[in-house]
Amino acid sequence: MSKGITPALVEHLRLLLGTDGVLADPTRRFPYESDGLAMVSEVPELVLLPRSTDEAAAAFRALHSAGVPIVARGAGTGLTGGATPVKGGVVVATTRMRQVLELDLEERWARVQAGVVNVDLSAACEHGQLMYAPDPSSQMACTIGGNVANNSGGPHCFKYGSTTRHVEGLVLVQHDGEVLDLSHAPRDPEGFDLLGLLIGSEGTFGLVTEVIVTLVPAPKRVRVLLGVFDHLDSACDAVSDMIARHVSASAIEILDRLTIEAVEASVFAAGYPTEAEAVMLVEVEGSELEVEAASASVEELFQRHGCLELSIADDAKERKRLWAGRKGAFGAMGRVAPDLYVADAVVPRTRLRELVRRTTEICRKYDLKLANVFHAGDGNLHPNICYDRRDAEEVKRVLLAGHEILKVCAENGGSLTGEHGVGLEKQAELELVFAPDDLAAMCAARDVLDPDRRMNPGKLVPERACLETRSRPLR
Amino acid sequence: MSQPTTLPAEWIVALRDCLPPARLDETRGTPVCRPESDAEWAEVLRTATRFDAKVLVRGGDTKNGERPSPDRADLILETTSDAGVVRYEPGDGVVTARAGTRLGELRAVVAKGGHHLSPWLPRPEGTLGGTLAAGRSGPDRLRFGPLRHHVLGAKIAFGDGTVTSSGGALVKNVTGYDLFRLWTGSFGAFGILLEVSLRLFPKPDVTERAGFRSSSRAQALELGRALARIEHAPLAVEVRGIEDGPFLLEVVQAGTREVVDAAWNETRTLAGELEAAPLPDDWIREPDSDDCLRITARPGDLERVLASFERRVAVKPKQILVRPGIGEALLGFHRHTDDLEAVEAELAVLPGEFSWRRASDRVLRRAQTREALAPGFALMRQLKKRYDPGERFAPGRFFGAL
Repeated sequence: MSKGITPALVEHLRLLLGTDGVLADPTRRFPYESDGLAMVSEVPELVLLPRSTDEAAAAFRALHSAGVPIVARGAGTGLTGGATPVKGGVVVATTRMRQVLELDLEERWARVQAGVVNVDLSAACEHGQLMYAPDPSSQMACTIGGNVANNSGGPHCFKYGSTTRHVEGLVLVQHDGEVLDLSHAPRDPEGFDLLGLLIGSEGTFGLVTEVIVTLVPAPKRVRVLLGVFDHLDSACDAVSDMIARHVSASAIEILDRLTIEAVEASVFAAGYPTEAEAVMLVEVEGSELEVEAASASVEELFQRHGCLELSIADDAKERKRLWAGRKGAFGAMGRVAPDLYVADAVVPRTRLRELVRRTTEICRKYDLKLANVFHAGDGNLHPNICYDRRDAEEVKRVLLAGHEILKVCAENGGSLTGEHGVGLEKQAELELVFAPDDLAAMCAARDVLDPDRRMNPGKLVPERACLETRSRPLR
Repeated sequence: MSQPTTLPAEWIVALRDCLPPARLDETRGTPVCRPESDAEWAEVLRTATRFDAKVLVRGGDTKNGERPSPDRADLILETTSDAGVVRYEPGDGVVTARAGTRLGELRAVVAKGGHHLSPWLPRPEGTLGGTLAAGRSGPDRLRFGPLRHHVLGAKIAFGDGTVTSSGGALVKNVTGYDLFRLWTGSFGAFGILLEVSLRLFPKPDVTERAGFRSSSRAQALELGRALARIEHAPLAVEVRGIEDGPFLLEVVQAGTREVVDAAWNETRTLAGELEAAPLPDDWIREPDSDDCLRITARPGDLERVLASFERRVAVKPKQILVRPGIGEALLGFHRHTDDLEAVEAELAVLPGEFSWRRASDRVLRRAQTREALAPGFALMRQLKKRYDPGERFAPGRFFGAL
């Protein structure tokens, strides 16, 4: 146990959070050792489970006095090590903060605790024909607070945008226990846009405890078109063409052959043809006129790019079946290898084919198995490298390949992450897209919001960059 | 503006040294520089820092009346000489342009590639940087959302001349802190915007508008709000009124021919017996009176907020423009500073959110006291101090007098 976490502190925290709110037993702390980036793990010294903003604030004040590092955690579904306590200290999880506090169907917003599961929020407003738009693949488990921390996306962000476009306000418990209440912030702020800064800050500015989200009308008509392609290149070209021609879709997703095989052999089997080199799922929604017009455009472009087979689903059950393969793709990869390294690069949508090819070449060079399943409409690639973490040499090759993929994307106008965040995993690569002065400007924000670097230490902006900044003031 | 502080004579010599002569205008009371590149901006700002000169930044000069005059300005930096599209690939739906680019010019460039630039704003001479600095959205926010959601990345020069970037030119990107969001709407409190990347939207095949007359504002707002939620929702819905006159409901529909036709059928069904009204030629109009107050609230609360304002405030607006689907109203007043100071004095206790689009310095200064009560103001102050420790930029001009 680190110097700061004394038996007296643990006892004090139990008084604040109740016995169930403090996990000190090693067997109960063990599940919090990592998130979805399984290759890095560190068991926290203590796990705290506050039930409210007030409880979290009280605990943070106690931890501040003791100088203990704090790592915020939602459901631990992140893929970049963002919730892994690499510098020790406590993990504060929002597991017991699962209430929808207010729901205004008429004005289309909700106030929720940070631990509300993404899919539960849409379920809570379904009776009002509304939904919460961001839908990460992990939406059955991931939390709204975690989505805010990572500015999460999902397939339908192609139409609706990432989390930042759906958050109207939040409550943040800062490193010292101060509560920043932006739950009543103006909808279109005249002052500085603090929300815009805080969303996507990966727990380095504090713990989000409450979120005010906007809800959108659930579409009345939805159609899913599944195109089967004999080459991944053709599917990529079809997407670039759809973007250039402004085809009005709500999601455009691609799965390659290895992914299709894994999905079809799993419980997520969706009936994708296993001999296909790629399938593309395009969802269109709106009025009957809009759905018909968009479908016609998609069908035309599918044909132009050599689509071998087209399936159309209007019926909700059939649509769900087609989506099941996509949503379950990451889970299905367990059939290919014990571990999965999910990269998350973004590229200009005019260069999809070229850069998907490059990722394939890189994995071939390192003799690694690559499965592609990605948000093609947003240019958000997810090259999934299948590996076994028990094989240290293979882990090394995975990391080298991951770095090279990001480098190639960055050199070609792309970026490091579209929705998973930087976390622990991509810190070294930040220098591929940002100059030292850019990183120094980010460190300056952290100087203000987390001066002692106790909030999720060792994540997002590399400490080296910040240390250099501190020895050389921003101006 | 207050008088410039007397700086040593070497100040102007240093300025002459740091820019080509054509980019420095010494003929006015306060020297004006017009840098044209990142390097020139950096050089000018380094020189200003050396002499502790205070800097006022100016774009298209279309939003000058929104903030009070600075306490001190020793140098005016104009952005309009640093203009032009840096990168625009129609196939990707993203544009990157220098901040001094006029909105009208940028709109024309992307229209050729089949794109609509949001925000849709009245003054085409306004600049991209100025629009971003003001965080200004237009009536098309109803369909596309606020400007801050379209900004993908930005390059900024801090007071010491350091030039930094955040975000990028990609429609989806969560790499690093979204500092560009903090710059958006800050009126340049942190630095000078040099370059901006924006997400674009498909340019509709057809854009049409229609007007309806109503004698009741409440009726017009209710209808406007209902129209904002029809299946083929409009690009914009506005309700205009003039003192003691009828209310004009203006609806803009945009899309394919078939969709727009369907939208008009829905519109007419909802509008029922309301009389059609002719519309003036100019498409985007905001109150042009001397002073203008912006009120925002949740759309469903807006009529109540306006009624509450009218009950409490004796001064009557001469023009009113309401965007019922967005929850925004612009009230135009003739300039009677004392009256408007009285109006400002009431705002802190009224429901809704208020900001001045144009007002006298006295009113704007008074409004800063109210601004300092905003949620998170203490954090805003810390951020301002961290990013502009030398108070290089127009001291006294920003939100809450930061």
